[in-house]
Order: sequence, then C-alpha cells, then structure tokens
Amino acid sequence: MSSILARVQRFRWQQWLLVVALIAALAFAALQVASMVGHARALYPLRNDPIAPWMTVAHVAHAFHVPDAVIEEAIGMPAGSSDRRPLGYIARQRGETFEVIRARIEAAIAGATPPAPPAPPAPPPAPARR
Amino acid sequence: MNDLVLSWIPDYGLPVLFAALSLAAIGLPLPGTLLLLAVGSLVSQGELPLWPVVATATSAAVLGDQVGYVAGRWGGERLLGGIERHDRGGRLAQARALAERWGALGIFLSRWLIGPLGPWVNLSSGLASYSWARFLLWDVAGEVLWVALYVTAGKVFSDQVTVIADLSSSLAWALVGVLLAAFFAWRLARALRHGPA
Repeated sequence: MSSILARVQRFRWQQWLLVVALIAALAFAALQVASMVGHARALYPLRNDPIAPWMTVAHVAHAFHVPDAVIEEAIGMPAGSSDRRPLGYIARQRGETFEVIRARIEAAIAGATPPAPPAPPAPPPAPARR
Repeated sequence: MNDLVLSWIPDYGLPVLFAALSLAAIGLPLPGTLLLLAVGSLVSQGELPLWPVVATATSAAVLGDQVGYVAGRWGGERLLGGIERHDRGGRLAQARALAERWGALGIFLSRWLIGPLGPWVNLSSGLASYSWARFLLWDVAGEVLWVALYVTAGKVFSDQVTVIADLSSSLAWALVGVLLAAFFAWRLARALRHGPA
C-alpha cells in the first residue's frame, strides 16, 4: 500500500492528466446512464412520441391508435386522401405554423380516444395488529 | 437536421435512406439509428417494403464504411511514412499489432453497439493496414445486425421511435465512456506497476 502511495507521489503531469481523463470518462458514462434511465422511464407507462414535423398522417394515426380519418379531418383534408407528405411540409404549404397543426391534431386525438377508466377504489385499511 | 432528413423519407424513400446512411457511416452527424427506427415504423404501416429497406440500409452503411477505410489506408500512407521515420520506439508497429489482435471485435461492435466509434474505427483500420477482406467480413456482419436490430425495433415500437433512438444513443455513449475509462485505468495501472515512464 505504501509503495503504491509512493509511486502516486512520483506521478508526473502525464499521469495526473490520465487521472483527470479517467474521472471525466466515468462522469460522462454516469451521465449517459442517468439519461438512459430517464428515456427508459418514458417507455413505461406507455407514452407516445410527441407529434413531430417529419411524421405523416398515417404515422400519427398509427402511433396514437386512431383512424387516419381523425387526423385528416383535424387538418382539413378529405378522408381517405392517403397524403404521404410530412406534417411540417403540409403546414408550410398552407402558410400555417406546425404548432397550430399539432394543436389541432392533439385536440382531435383527445376527442377520439375514450377516456381512461376510473382508478379502482383503494383497498380498505388493514386492521391494526395487536 | 434530424427532422429535415426524416421528413424526406416518406416522400423519397429508399434513395434518401441510402444517401443518409452512407454519409452517416462516413462520419457526418446524421441520425442513422433514428432513420432505421423510422423506416421500421413505416414498414410496419406498409408504407415501405421490408427487404428492399434492409438491403438498401445495409449496402449504404457498408459503402460508407469502405470510404472511411480507404481514406485511412491510402490517405494515411503519407502521414504514416512521416511518422515511421521518427518512430524509434516502434509505437506504430505496436498499434498495428493491436489492430490485428482486437480489430475484428472492434469493427463488429462499433457497427451496432458502440456506433459513435464506427467512423473512427474505419479510419484507424485503414491507417493500421488491417486486412481489407477481414474488415469487409466483420463490417458486413455488424451492419446486417445493426439494420436488423433497429428496423425490427422500429416495427415493434413504431409509436415510440424517438424514445428508442434516444435510449440507444445514450447506451452507445455510456459504453464509449466506459471503454475510455477502462483504457485510462489500464494506463494508470501500468504506471503504478512500473513507475511513471
């Protein structure tokens, strides 16, 4: 143990640089693991991707489990038009912002999705032990 | 940038997929994994055909990797010639021996598990004059696995492709951090054993 300490005391700047690099690499890995945990928690309970400009009508309908017609109606397209253009492109073509289109789609999805069933009643409190 | 490339996929399909994945394999900051997940989602909706997607994605990634290898091998010859003349400690020979020993594993894993290292492994394999036939073999094996894995994940998690892409990116970077930490720890352990060089 004391010989290791003696060797550490003889470290030159190159070795101290390695120590700093080792700590930085470990901190970076830890941050990435924390970020991974955050992303994994987004998977359960099931949460959909936010609606993005690259998504098509069919993608959003598929992702949110609603018929294509719900999305088409929300953005004022004829039902069954099978438009494959991305939503961001559709918004630009109409001179609208993507946020406006997204808000309309979100409202339509909320209207088309049945409300979640009420939570089951809480179990009665356990009798106190003697 | 990610949104722009992704928005071209539904309209232009396989040619955009090919171009984007080739450039990502060369090292341009394009979202290769997210693209594969997105096309997997489009495959699950019947918007794109499965086998042409797999063939296009694999050939694009392999082509981009070959560009990196060739750049390292032929572009690096002049550079290495200059280094070799001044390399009295045989460090270059050591690096080549290391590439021979660990090259196959490094090439295979950097295709699908530690993707951020992929372009660097391509360049360094070329620089170390690693056998092209073996590079190609491990490259194809790794890229087939990468494409199969993420297209399937895109099909299965077709409503959560961005979350899965973020998750896989964090995993890959965490592994890069762990590998770097292991390398620095190994160098420190050597210094402790033999004393500072």
